[in-house]
Amino acid sequence: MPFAIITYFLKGAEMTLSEYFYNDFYKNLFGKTWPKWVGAVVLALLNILLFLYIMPLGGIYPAIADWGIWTYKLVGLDITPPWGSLQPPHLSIISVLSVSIMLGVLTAALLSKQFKLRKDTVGGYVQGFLGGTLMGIGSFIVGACILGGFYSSIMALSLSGFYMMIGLIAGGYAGGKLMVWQGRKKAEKILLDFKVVPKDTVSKDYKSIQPKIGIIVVIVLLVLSLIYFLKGMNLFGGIILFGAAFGIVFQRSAFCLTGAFREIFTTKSNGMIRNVILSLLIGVIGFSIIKANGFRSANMFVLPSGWHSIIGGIIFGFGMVITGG
Amino acid sequence: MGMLWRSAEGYIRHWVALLGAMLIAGLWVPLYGYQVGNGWLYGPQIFLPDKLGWAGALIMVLLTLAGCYTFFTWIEIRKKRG
Repeated sequence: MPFAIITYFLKGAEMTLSEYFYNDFYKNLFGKTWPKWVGAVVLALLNILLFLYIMPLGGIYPAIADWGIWTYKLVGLDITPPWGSLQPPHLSIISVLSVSIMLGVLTAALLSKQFKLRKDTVGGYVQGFLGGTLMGIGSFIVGACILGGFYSSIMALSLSGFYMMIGLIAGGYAGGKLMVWQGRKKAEKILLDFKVVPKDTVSKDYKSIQPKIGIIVVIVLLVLSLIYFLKGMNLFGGIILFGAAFGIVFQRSAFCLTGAFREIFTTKSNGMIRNVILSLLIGVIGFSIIKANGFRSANMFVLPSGWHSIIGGIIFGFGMVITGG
Repeated sequence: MGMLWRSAEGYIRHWVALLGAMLIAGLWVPLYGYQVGNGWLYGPQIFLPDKLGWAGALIMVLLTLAGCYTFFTWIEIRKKRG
């Protein structure tokens, strides 16, 4: 930021401050998708910092499972959660992290005018429901979802991460083949009937107010973080900022793990998986320094490993691809 | 992760996926009998430096990742060459 201000003064009266921020700051950050390798590097560095702060990126499915158990509680069913003990969402690190990631994605989508309510067919919803269910089952069997069981687990030098990777490649391939088949069917239908091409459900006027709503979401995030800090719950305040940063980087760089595994043997366009590996290489070095020096427990994010990791990876990989990442 | 991401971008299919993932959580312990990580299903926790030493583990992990990187690139190049 200081450099931006200095540059502004160097440019003298050629442009106003608002023009400068629009052209050199906003348009660079939100006007175009970031290169994938930038996402790979920044996500790895953020994950290293988050590991130093409290834990690596993970716990997304345990958080979703907690929300499910709370939903069951609302209708009077008292069920033991699959992971750990049940915490109220606002007092659970993983829930706060997951919601912050979502708000970070929402912020980036709004600021870049990419938020849009996208309807689907009944078949699409059924497929989404099945995909979500399969990802849940895969997470139970592996012991964690793709972020905790693969991404952070490999960085943490856990053998389970490599087992899950084998499963994800197989499951991603099977799901990818199904998607290719569905794509062909859809294309045939579109050729026969042009009316099935989905209409843009958002008007241009609506798009123009998105950045303003995005700024409101940023303010909400900062206020939520501040509330936790003021209540002395500094850990949660920091987690909100971390989560938002992860969400923004994921959305802006389109760093898609689903796409990475889906494409390996289907379209064989492997730029995304190469960036995932680049991210892992950086993370492995960072995590090793942290663990070897005893800054964090060596066993952190070392998950059970065995055939279940591969089978769970296959189920998770298939589920994530048919959901459509 | 993709589910949270796409949900926040407005994909209604992913809201439904999120619902599926939430509801299945209620079946795991009643059906399997244990929480995740416990019981007959799960293997041992293997921290690679415990088995191979720090240098061995790092060399193995970095070489495996570099090997995967090369293999996936080779697949792509082979496809482009037809």
